[in-house]
Amino acid sequence: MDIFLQQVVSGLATGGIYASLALALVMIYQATDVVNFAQGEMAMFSTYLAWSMLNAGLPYWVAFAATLALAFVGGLLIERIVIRPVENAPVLAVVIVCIGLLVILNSVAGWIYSYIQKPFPSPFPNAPIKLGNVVFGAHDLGAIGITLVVLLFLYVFFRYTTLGLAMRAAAQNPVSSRLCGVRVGWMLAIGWGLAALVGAVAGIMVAPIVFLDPNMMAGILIYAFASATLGGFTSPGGAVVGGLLVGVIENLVGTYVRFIGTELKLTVALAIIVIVLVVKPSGLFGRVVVRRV
Amino acid sequence: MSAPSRPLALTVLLVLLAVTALLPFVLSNFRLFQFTQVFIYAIALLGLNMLTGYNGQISLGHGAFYALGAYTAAVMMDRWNVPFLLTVPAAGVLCLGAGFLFGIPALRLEGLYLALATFSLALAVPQILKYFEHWTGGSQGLVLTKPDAPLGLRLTPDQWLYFVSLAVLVFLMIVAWNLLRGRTGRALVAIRDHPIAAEAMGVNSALYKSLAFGVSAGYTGVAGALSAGAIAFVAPDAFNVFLSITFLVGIVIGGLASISGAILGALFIQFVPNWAQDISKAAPWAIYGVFLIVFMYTMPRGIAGTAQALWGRLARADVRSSPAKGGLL
Amino acid sequence: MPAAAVRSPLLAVCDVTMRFGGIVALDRVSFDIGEGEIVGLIGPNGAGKTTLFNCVSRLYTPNEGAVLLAGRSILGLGPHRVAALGVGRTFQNLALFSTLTVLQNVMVGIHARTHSGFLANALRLSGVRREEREMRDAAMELLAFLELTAVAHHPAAGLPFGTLKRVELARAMAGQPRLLLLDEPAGGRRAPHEPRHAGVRPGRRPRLRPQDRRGPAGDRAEEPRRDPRVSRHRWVRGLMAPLLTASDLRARYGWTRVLHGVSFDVEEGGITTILGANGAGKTTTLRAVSGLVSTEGAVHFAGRRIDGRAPEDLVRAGIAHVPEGRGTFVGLTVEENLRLGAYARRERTRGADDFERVYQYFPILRERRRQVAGTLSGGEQQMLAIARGLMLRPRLLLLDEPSLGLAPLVVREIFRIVRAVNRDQGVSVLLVEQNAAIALELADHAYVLETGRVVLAGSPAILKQDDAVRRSYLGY
Repeated sequence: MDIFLQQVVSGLATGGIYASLALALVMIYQATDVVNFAQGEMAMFSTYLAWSMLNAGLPYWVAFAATLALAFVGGLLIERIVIRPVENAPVLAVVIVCIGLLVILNSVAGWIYSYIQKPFPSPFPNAPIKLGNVVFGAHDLGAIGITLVVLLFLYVFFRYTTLGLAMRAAAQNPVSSRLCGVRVGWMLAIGWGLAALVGAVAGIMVAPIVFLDPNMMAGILIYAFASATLGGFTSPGGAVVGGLLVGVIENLVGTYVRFIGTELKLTVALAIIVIVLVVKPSGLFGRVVVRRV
Repeated sequence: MSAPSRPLALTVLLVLLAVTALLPFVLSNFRLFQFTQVFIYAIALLGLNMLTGYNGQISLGHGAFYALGAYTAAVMMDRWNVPFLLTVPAAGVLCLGAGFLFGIPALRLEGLYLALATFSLALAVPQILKYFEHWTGGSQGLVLTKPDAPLGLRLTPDQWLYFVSLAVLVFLMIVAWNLLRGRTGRALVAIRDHPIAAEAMGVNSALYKSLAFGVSAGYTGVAGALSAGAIAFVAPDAFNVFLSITFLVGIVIGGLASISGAILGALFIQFVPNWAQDISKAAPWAIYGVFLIVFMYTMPRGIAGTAQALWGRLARADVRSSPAKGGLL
Repeated sequence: MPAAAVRSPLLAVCDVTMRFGGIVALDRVSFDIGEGEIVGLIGPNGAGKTTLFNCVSRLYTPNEGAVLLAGRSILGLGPHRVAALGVGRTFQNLALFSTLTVLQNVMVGIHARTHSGFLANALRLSGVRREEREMRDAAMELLAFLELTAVAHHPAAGLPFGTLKRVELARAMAGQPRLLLLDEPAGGRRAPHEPRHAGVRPGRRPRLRPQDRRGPAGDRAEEPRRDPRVSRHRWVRGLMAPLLTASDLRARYGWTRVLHGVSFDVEEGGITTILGANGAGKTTTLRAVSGLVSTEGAVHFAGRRIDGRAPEDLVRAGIAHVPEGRGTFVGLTVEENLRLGAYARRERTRGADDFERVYQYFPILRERRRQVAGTLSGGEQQMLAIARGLMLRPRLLLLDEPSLGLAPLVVREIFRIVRAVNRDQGVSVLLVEQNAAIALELADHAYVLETGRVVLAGSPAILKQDDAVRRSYLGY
């Protein structure tokens, strides 16, 4: 039972990171119908920025905040400069541009920082926290906490601010939004900025666990895809739940199902996704779009 | 295409074919191998293009069928000493079946969801290959002997593989052309353009979509089998996600819904990474990425699509000069 | 009973009900069609005609009821099976295969009648070649019959609307259907009597075709009311510069020209209406004014030239556009929809006041303010759309077919509110309508649009006397 609880908590911690990245994917997808394959690399690059600032001697939380700000601006600029020219191109052309962005970011990061793994500090104490018989890693709990704060921030932003409302409107019905005076292009850019910000949080939280290297987000992005798919690509809340579920399932399956062990963990997670998709194509929380003739 | 351009196109084709037939006798072995790889990629891209370009089903998982084809050939050669040439059609048939079966659940998925489901398939492949170590040799992979040319043909194995790949490519191109210009091709495009209207016209879209998946996977499987022979080695990590993404890059850059686009795309994915390496040793992939983005800015419909548009503009200039009839209401 | 009457009809629709969210599109519809009959299905825009067709051709599955083809239920069959049983159709908004040529489009129409298999196609056996030749010949013959030979090898995308309508007809006829469903075959053309159409008769086949006409006769047999205000406005006309002037608007979608030089004025404080059939270019005209489509020609608003400016800017200048099909944000609540309506207002006082003012006109929205807009009924959604426009406190309100798909009583209510808003708030209104009777009742000035041109203009009183208007738009 204790092992179970421990696995669940560490599953929630990684799940929270998947959830953040999945949320970033869903935000961009909802607004633009684009799956941003470069989302993981954007997060990775932001994490390197944080590393540079920490190396330069900035206090952790200052570097953290500065990284988020830079990530936001970076995401915004990427949308305006790189994505905008293909706004009206076929969807697959946009996908290819995202893939181009992915390899550029990956390659440039490798060029600047080399492909050697680097340790990344955690802001939380090293000492494990004991609750009853169960021992939790402080970083795990901290990561869950930070993820929750980010999600709460986004929820409040989208729910209660006029800008958030305008962004939701722009994603839902661009034409009507324009007729309300909403500048849809800028809403998309802000969406990319926020997605980059959320991704940066995920990167900084996961780096102490997987270590920092240019390919560190590849695996995580895949789990984020899985989470978003599971939750339904049209539902931000679904993406979060999907992320947590994937994290927990992955951990439990790896621990309890012998023949799977760690080797087929990924395969099992993916199999679950495919099954969910086939049974409920729009994901657990997604909505089905009725097409009118 | 209008009638007078047909003999012209045929001539161009024949000249191209003659040149490709002569290449093995002038090129170095390494270059030859690269061109063999281009043909192999072209076959895979042709298959993917039928599915994604013509039928509108986006697959990010064709690396899986490529792997299945490669391992089918490798295991047959390694375990049962089956001649290479027999393993190629076997891999094709096996992948056709596998693709058709995968196509059935895929019917429920559309666009992005299909892309992601196929993506997970591609992701799982290396792990699965490693898991069935007994057959696949695990992460070590299987080392094969390069198939020799049959007795009587005085060709090196590289030259032989070049010609085999070329012949298979030409054959499969003709089959694709036949399929796509007739009843089947119209149905496939109709489903892509307007699925609802296609159904209302009596097109069984479930059947056609699964068939498209099957044929597409079959093509890719054949390509995989050929690659196993050409490289004489298979290992799980060669079939990672990036392979599937590369295929998608190939068809989009080459041009969706175009047979010649498959070859152009194959040239791109084979040679452009090398060029990028020549330009910058430090960050070759950054250069490659810039290439991708610039290509999409300038030719969002791919090379073949852009060429077609240019051709169309010329043709339309012709039509415009003769005033349109008033009979159009 | 004579033997013929015992035979089941070709098509029997029994108690078919279809709901979308909060909107009931079909409510226990029943009727029969016999072999060889031509049946017209009439009703105003949005009455459910297309939905009914979609149920018959199995694109929709009705919530309740049965559809029998020659006595056999088709609700268990997929759409392609229904087509193979001999049900052909066209679509209201064109559903052609845009990248295929006209000829190929028609050949897809023959698909269900041909049988060559995948493998035979791949190898292009001689049987396949023969079948292909026959299909091509049959299709070309049909194209010749419909005067489409000239465009046979042209991709469907980019041809004029009227031509595409004929291509669709050819495609539907190519299947040699027993039952041909024609959805607004005259849509976008020169009004109901279309000479070319009479020639198109694929033998003696039954056809079911919805046509736009006014609702039940009782709704339109009302006395035209005399409104004293009308004369006052006409008197004012000419003394003041118009609020909006559009001159020589030309617009196209792709290769299709939709507007061929449209000019009109909207008087400050008045209600101006543009009438016309489906596809006449009314919606495009409004979209041109609000900047959603780019046009040649000039638009002046309050003395300033505004063509070429983005809709986001025009909203800030005081033009509120309530688009066709309402354009409500179905996933947001009523209140959020209204908040968005005030988004572009400069002053930061968009508070309770505005909501109060709007709720006064639309009390039902106050009750439903926390509800998600998608769950509202059609009429409530239309009210929400107009209310959202009013939240801007606009100088000019553009209304695109507010009557679309609504029951006559609801339409009347909405128009009453529009008039009240116009009178109390001094909001000028440009109204685009197919429902000519009610629009003429409301408006101070009217224009009639046909295939992208203004063919008539004048006061409603005069237009109502016009023979052509009466025949084509008022139906008497």
